[in-house]
Amino acid sequence: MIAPSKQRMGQPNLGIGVGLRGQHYRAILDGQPQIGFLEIISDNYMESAGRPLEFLDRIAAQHAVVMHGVSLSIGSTAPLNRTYVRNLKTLRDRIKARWVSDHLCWTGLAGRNTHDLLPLPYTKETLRHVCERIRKVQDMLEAPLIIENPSTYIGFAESTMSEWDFIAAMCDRTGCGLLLDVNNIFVSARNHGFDSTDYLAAIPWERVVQFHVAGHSDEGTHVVDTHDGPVIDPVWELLAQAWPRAGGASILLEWDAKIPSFIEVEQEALRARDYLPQLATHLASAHHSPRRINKRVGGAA
Amino acid sequence: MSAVLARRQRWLYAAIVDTNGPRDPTKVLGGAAVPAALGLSIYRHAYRARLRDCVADDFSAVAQVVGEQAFTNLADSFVAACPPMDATLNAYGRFFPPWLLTTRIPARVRLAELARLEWALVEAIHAAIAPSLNAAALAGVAPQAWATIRLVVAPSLRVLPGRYHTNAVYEAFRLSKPLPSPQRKNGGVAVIRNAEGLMRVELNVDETKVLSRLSNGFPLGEALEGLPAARLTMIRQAFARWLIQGFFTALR
Repeated sequence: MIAPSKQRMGQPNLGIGVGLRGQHYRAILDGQPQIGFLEIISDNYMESAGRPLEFLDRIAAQHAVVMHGVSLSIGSTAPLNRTYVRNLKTLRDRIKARWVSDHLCWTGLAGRNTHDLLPLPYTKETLRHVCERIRKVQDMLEAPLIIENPSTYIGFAESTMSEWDFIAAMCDRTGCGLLLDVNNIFVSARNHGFDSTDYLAAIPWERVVQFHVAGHSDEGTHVVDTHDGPVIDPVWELLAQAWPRAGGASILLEWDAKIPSFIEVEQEALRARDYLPQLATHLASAHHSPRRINKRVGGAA
Repeated sequence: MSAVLARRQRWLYAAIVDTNGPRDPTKVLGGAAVPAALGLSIYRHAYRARLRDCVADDFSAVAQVVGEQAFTNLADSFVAACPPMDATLNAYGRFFPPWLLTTRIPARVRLAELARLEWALVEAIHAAIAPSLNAAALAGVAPQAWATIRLVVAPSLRVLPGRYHTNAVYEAFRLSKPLPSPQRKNGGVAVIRNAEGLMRVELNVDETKVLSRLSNGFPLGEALEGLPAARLTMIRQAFARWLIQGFFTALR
């Protein structure tokens, strides 16, 4: 059991949230979302002075927002992109985001980018490299960086550590936070043949600031992290095992392809309450206003 | 920096991006339940699909003109020729219109014009809206100073000279109407985002010339140089519309 003062590295539990996507801007501004927070893809707003940023400013004025990036490339051997980190900080300060997260991965080499979250060999050498870069980013952000566990489809013959041991050591050495994506654990457990309970057993729970859930595609021989549908029961059940161990933390549903209406995404996210009764109690006290059905975005009375 | 890790990352980058993957990935990959070749193929496929989708999002009118399969082939060729370099994909599409001109596809000039218009719209969406030039500021310009004033254009303004009826094609695409047959039309299109929203303004040849010069920082006198006196009234009227539409934000 983690002492309440040490839970989530002092960050608030924002309840249940969804990823902010462009097609939902109007529904969020015009409606009364039941969710507790929104997560933005940081990269979508960092090089824009236009319409997306105007919407974000308005939304951030009304809702708690956290930042989730895909291009920090914390594991890359290319020089750290300091301009990118500075832009992250500027955006965070502008919209008063509660925290900044990215993935345990690399995305490209100097001057070349795959825009994918590529896996790392888990070795002591990689650990040293990643930790050094996390420290640099944290110094620039003047705040802990929150790192998400990846979903992967390949392993490296030279790996000498499990992903969970790597993550535990990374958190210990850098003081970074953890965004625990239980769907990624599920996907990687299938693709790599490990037991997700081994993964959870090694997690430094006091570092878990946020959870992710998402849908994936089961191809029979393997599972692909597609974020294009509802969350399956075993992933919710994994969340139900993990969430109390962190003393509760913000839960976010990612839905990035074949995106339905905001209400559908929101309803899917709120299914977390079915698996976490203690969360339902918390939300009942936090959200006492009646739900207004917004027909403009496809809601039925 | 770790030399071993750097070598491994160069290997994986090439294994994903190169047209032909590595002959035997098991020399490097292992430990997963998914066979190495299958696991690698997921990354190889995702790389191309993601970038293809990105191009398709930005150039959906071009995609409709050339057809779905032809556009997929075109996008794949573009991705192979112009692998992304930036940290984010936001500006990746800027390379697509000029790249089209380097291909041998039929009607590439016409398609590149349409692509350029689509990209200008993307850029306008991501540009800030600045306050329009105050009419009082213009009224205060002394008659003898008119020739030397320069106008600061709105951050979102893009002036696109062209040889085809590109705006009509885009308009038909936007309204889901049958696309008109290709027609020559010298002139251009101005794209701007103002408080009213995103606008496309058709320009004739003279308007295109003057507005291009103004947006490139020419003084007003030089921007109007070579224009027949008979056209000045038309330009004056256009200028009044441009002011209202927020094309200019300041004098300098």
